[in-house]
Amino acid sequence: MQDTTGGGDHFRAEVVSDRFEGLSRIQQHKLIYDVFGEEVGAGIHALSIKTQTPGEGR
Amino acid sequence: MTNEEIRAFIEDAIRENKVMLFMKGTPQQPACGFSMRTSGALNALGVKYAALDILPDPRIREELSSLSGWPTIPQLFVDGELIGGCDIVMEMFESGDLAETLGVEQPELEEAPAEPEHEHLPQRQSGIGLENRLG
Repeated sequence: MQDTTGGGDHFRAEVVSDRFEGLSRIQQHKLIYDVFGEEVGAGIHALSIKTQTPGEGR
Repeated sequence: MTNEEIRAFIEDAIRENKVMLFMKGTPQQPACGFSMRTSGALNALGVKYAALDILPDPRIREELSSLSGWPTIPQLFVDGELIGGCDIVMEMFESGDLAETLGVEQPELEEAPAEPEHEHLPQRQSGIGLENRLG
């Protein structure tokens, strides 16, 4: 998790989880949005997400 | 316009346009970097798409997010289905999946940076025909 501007409202999240297995990208990103809930769009202006399953790791 | 009318308008837009982008600003004048990158990817693929600026009325975004379950802008729909926001669209653009989804050919990205090398050099447009070449 990275604060990309230092302003506390733009973040980048890179998440690797086996929970993403078998899910579409949309579903994977929705799981991340669920963590932040109402904050996304309110306190958090921008949240850049990259999701991977352990098998997809570089 | 009532909220119901806005929602119906959004639903119609998604249904009637094969490629439908909801963004901040317009493709000509994007009002946010994420919207700019997403419409830029579509432009690079040369596909026809419809775009709706969500900024004029906050209810557009509220209704859109409540029907798509996606909290952020931009949102790209293809054939009535949410493809993703900026991150997913850019990932798919780079992998070639977006071109495939849209049924177009992937532009050859490798060639693009190598070709117009000279474009990065500052161009003197001073009108003075002298080259400042010392020595």
